[in-house]
Amino acid sequence: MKKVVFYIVVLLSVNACVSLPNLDNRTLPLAEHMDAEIHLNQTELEVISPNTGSAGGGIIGAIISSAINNAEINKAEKAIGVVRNALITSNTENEILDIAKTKLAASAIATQMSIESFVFDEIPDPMRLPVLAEENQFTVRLSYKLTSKLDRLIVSARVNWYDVSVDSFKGKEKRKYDNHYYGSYVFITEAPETIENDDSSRREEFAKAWVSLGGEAIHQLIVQGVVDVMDMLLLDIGSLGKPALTSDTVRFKSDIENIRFRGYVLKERGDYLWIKRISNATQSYYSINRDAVKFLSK
Amino acid sequence: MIQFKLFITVFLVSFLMACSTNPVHIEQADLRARSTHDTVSASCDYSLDSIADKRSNSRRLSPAHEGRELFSADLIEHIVSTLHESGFFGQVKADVTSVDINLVKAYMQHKLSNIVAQVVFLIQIENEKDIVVRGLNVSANWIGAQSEYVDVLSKAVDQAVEKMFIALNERCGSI
Repeated sequence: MKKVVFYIVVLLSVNACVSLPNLDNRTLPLAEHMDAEIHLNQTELEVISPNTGSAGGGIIGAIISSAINNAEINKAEKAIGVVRNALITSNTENEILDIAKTKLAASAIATQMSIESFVFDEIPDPMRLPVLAEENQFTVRLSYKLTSKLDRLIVSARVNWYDVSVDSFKGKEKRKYDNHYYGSYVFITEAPETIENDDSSRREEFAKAWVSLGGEAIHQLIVQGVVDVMDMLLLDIGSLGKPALTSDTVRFKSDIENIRFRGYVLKERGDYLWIKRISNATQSYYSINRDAVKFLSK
Repeated sequence: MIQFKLFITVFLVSFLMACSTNPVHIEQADLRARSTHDTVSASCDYSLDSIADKRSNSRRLSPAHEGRELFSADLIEHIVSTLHESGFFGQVKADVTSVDINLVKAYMQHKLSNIVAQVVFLIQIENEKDIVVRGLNVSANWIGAQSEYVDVLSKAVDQAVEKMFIALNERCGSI
């Protein structure tokens, strides 16, 4: 029994030390030809599901948890309805896919890039990735949503890149995934009004604040978010993971969705700071309102 | 003993249904059977000019990888029959206001242990500002059975139709 525990601990330790592949040893273009897909898995502005925790174990706990989840999701979905209605005639989905496609096509990631974009009901089953991938597969997953409290708009792009090659082993062809790069690029902006004691019971007030901006202004904020996340993606991959860092370090903290990190400031764009998160585990970049971050050093 | 066997059988069947990933096709007959829509009386006459399905051609209600795939080709037919049965839209007369109804969104999502259905209409009235009405239903996803999805979608459609009637009645006085 002790041996089993020992091997489990050793395996877990080894696993913990394995860092994600990065782009340090690569040069641009990453490939001669690359298949890229852009996915937008939604048809309207999303709301993050409230984190209601657990009401204990067993069937009674499960029933209580389910009832609490049901009530909280109902409240969040009802509250965001007016914001969604304000956007109903905007062509947000197609516009942000077009922006992402144009940005990717103009990049130097690959000499030749085939780009396809898919929205909501057109997205192919992701289980085929990378299992059926014939060669390089570069996937960008876009999303735009409000936090469960409706106090922030979050636009994100998540990148998966599988560098597939075929090796011959004992006369058999074997597909090999040389590299798996994962990057996360997030745009966060505050609600147009600050509401004191901003717990989840204030969702309707936040919703009204968004609606007071008007559908076109919300649409433009989402579009700005997509432009920012795609530009951060290209800054990251375009400089092969080593964009120039300023000496400024900042801390960002959001109590409600547990988003909190420290990072380096990369650049400023208007009222937004581009921040590279300090982390060994993931490549994450954020574009955040200047007022929402706390400077740790200057 | 027989009761115990029955219980075990029901439990196993429910468990298997919960594990099913077969696509769910929601038909008009399913929605009609579940509909609990109460007729709202009209305050004034409207002539229904058109009902259009502005969703994509796939009629898919959920993304490919989110639990079971859900489709509903007959949703617009169900809405058309509900509207006509309600008698809300009167006979075409010279002085009635014409209305165009567009089904712009109909989708379902899994959120935590729940199914969420949304149905949205964009109502266009001649010489008036457009109206957006939204039907929403959130229900616990117990065993992932087809009847659960039908129930949630049917309630969202009923709510959207009822909100449409209320909005049109409210607008009626100002036209």
